[in-house]
Amino acid sequence: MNPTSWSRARSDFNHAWLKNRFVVALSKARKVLDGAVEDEFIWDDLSALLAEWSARKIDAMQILEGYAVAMNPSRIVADGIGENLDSETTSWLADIASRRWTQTEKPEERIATAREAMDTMNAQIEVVANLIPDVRQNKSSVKFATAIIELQTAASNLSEVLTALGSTRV
Amino acid sequence: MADALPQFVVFDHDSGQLELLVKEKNCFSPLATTKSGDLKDAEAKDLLLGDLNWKIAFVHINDEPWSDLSRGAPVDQVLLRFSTQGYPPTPPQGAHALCIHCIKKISALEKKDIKLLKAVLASEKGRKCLREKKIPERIAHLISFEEPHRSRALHILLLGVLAVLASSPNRKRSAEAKELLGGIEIPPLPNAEIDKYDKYKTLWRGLGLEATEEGVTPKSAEAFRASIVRELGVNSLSDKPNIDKLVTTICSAKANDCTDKKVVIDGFKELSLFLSKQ
Repeated sequence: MNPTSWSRARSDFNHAWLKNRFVVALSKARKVLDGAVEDEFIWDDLSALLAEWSARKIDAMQILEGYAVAMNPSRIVADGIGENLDSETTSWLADIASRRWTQTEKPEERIATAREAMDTMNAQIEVVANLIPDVRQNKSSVKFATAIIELQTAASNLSEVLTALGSTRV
Repeated sequence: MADALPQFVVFDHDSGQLELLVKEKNCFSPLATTKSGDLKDAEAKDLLLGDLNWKIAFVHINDEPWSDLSRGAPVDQVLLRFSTQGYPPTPPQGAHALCIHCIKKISALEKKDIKLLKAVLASEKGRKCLREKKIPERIAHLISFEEPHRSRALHILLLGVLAVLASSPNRKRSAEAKELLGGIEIPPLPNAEIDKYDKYKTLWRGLGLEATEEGVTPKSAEAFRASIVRELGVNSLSDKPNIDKLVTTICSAKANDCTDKKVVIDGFKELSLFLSKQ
């Protein structure tokens, strides 16, 4: 992925799906559980969103895998400067730019943090998915409400971690 | 019939930080929507398109209603779009209205940013400037229309100059160069002719400038300067004095001159500051 397609992929997953659909649906589920809002389709909608996660998780993994390559400034050397300079100079400059960026951005640490956030969200999705049948029968709503809050926290945390990726490109 | 909207309005589909930031002290009124999810954004778009009274709208809104707003808002209205991640440099989009994007993410915005945006967008001079794709200096950290390819290339070429300097501990400003490189271990220089990375001709080649041994051709120098001005979104480089001096020096040097270290270091710092906000 180049920087533009990587940014677009991140925006599609993080902004359009995770934040604007997933977290919003969880907020609504909490309101329904609190009795503040009525929505007879909420558990169907939520189940459908949870089922989307297996495909969305692959998108998220691709974003993490593509990040260090797409955002590393050594790419700019190859794409922009390389055609004008000899190959030795090009790779030397790319090496310096990459080392400096790695030192500043610490991409491996960021990726590890994001993977952890994904794992937490993944585990919490399973908890919520397993509890939905009970809630449909009006059972265990306290346990379910706690699970929804924890999932919302996990999703928001993942969103924040993804937003912070690539904040430095020089 | 609904009341006319006030002159300054804000819509934040999260009803969150953006709304809080702009309604306090800056006199922006939040749009009163009744729906939720995607329908909330569509409702906001309908409210805005159905009213001619408002002049400036700050919006955190989905793609589709934004496109409708860009197409439909009339010429004397201004729409500024925000996001949780900040937008990449994007040219103005409106068919009639001035529709622009903020590059700074909502969570990083400060009250003074909102004050500056409001002041520039509320002034006829500020709007004229933006329509001509020039960014007033005081909001250059918030609005950008062009990806800074040339500036990034120059920044990376200067890393080479700094690396040569940092590799020579006895030279003046060597420690500063090393610090600007983040204290990294400098990779071995590719050949014995290390001076070449410290010469203007290497910068010229990397930047693709047309030049002779005597210097960059006037036409190429002019085009280079103009591209940097556009990328920085300024009226002239006098707003960025160290980059101005760097560009002037690059364009007026001779091929085998060694780079002026003070000019390189000061220019690099100013360029880094600009690029870090992109």
